[in-house]
Amino acid sequence: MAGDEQQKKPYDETMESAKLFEDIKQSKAKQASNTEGHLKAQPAKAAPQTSAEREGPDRPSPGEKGKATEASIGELFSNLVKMSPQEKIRIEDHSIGSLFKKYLSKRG
Amino acid sequence: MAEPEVKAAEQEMLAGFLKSNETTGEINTADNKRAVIITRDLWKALTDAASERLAAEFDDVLYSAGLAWGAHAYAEFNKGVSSSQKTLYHIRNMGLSDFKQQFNTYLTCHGWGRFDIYQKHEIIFVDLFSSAFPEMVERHDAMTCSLMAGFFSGFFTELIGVELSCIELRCAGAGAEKCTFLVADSGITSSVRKWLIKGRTSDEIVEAIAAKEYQGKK
Repeated sequence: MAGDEQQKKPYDETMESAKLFEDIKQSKAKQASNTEGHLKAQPAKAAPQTSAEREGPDRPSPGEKGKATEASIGELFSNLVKMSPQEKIRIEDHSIGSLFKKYLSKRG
Repeated sequence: MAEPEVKAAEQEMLAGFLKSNETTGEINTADNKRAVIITRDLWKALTDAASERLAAEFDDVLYSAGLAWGAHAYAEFNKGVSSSQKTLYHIRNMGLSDFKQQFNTYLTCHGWGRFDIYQKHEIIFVDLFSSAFPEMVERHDAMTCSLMAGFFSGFFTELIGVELSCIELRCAGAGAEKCTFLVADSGITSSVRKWLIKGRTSDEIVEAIAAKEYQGKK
């Protein structure tokens, strides 16, 4: 019995790998035919007319682009802020550490 | 236009700035602040008296009053914008066109005129159209808008978080079609003040700013 099992083992392995290979081959073929069918079923797409269509949906429309790039009122003053002396810039500290500043200074 | 139609139009225009409560006799602004109506003569008498009393310091006093008014106006404007735009972190992040629209609404609902803001030669310029102040002062020989200069200085100082100064370059009171203000660091505005005293025109001053003449005079 043990000798039979030893004889069968290499045969079974070969058979299984051959079967597995065949399965992969079949599933690939099936996938390819499905994709082909899907592509055939789709109607032909019209050529993009506008530049926005040509460059895809991620590109913002001219109006949206304008909105996205519009400067804020703070940005308008950015040059002026750069030119201002340091002592005239009010420090606005919104960090959690700022809440403990007075205790830290007491410790000295 | 028939007479009743004129009356109706006047009432509507007044209602845009002021509301009167017939029961209490109170007059309020569009945002419910008490207002007092005085005649032009009384206004003129008050400003003339203050001008005579304060002499050379009259403009400084007006500027200081404007500064406090501008800071207060900023707090009020900030409150209004924050309540309507919950996701806005700070007014500084408002889009320029949105800010102009909202701030114009704020100014016009009080009758202070229409404004525009722009950058030129790295300096901020503010135009004020139909400003109420030169109309009230009724002078046609000088720049009169120290109060408004103080107002813009106070407002933008609070908005940007940097101490800014403001000076009037051209005035409707001196015959210009609009009042133009310059908002910058006090070093630059004091140079501009000197140039104005020397008699340089607003166009010459803009050219001097473009050439950064103020840097040599700091």
